[in-house]
Amino acid sequence: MKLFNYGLALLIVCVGLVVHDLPSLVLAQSTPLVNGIVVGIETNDNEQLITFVVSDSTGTLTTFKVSDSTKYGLENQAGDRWVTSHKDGSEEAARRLSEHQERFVPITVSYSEATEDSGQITGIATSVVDREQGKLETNLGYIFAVFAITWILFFAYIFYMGRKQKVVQYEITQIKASLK
Amino acid sequence: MTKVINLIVSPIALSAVLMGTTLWLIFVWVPTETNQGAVQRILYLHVPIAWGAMMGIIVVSAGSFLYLWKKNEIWDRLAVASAEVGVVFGGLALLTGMIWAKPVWAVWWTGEAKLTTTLILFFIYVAYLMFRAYFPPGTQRQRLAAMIAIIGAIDTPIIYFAANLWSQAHPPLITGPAADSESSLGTSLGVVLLASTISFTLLFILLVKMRYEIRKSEDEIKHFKRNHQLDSAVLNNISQARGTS
Repeated sequence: MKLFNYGLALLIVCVGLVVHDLPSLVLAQSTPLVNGIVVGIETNDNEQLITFVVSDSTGTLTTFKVSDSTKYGLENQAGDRWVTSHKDGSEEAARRLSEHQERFVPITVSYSEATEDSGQITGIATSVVDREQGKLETNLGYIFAVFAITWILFFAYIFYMGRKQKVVQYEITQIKASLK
Repeated sequence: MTKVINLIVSPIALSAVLMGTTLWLIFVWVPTETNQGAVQRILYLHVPIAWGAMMGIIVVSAGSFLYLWKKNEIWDRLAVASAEVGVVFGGLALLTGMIWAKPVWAVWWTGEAKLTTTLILFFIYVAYLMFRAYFPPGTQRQRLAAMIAIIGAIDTPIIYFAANLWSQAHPPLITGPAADSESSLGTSLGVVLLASTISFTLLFILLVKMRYEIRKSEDEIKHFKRNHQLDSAVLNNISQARGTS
């Protein structure tokens, strides 16, 4: 019965999480990604970004149009991160991406409304971000999280088995004593 | 003296030494990868854990198949023990993958094939264990659970080949028969990955063995209780001990 209550509580928590995160999960399911380097940028007369082209590790080129809602999270060489939307920084976006192109810095682009015409993929970029390899502190945080979670879970499981073992031993002792 | 020697050569000590060596290799010996930087070191944990999760479902399905064939409780116990350890490895494979995805893909989760099929594997483990926990005890429960496990094993090759068949962001295979022949294995990356895989495989075997032994004792107690009339005071003590566990 106790196990059932734990199971039920876990189920309620899981359902709550799913309901809470459903919109973002649905968005994640429908948002394809491209990792690669910038190989081309197109700007208008006011030097505002219109499109850019990314080449992934297999050499596939993807052209991205930008919209007012496109989000940017790009770092400069010093590691300072610039976060804004296209509406508020279309010129800076062109400048930053051009800098990334010169430095061959990989970026991650999530996009929507992808179309393919004679092998050329085109989409509307929803977010353009650095792969963050430059940020040593951030990376160390992620490594710490992975190793800490892994070992905490393993030790918790071993502890759980130890408790189970103890109960079984107790039961055996009780049964043995009753048989004497 | 014999006790000390036994401890030194025991699988637990061997596992601890291997795990310590692996951690030294990961953090001290192997050079930092140029493309992803320090965060790439997650690979040496993520890949062996995911391997453990896949190995788990293979053992569960093999144990289930042998149980259906031989009708021997040993195989059923092995399947349950492996499923429980497998759910830990499966959950960790998902968690470590999500944490790694954030800095390199900029999202925690994306709906690509490798991730989705691994999530399905985790749900197969959970379904198997929930079925065993809530279905009335008996041979029918064992038979039906065995079928779930055997069907669930179909997911294993799908996970393995998913990155090569439908890859978007997840890197292609670097180990096994379908791996890219120009992969970086054979270099220092390969050495550390191999050492880590051996360490986690040994840990997996140890955990399954521990869980199997507990399960065996539990089954023996159940059989004993069924066949012998125990004093009510003893039963009361046992149920109290179970309540505190």
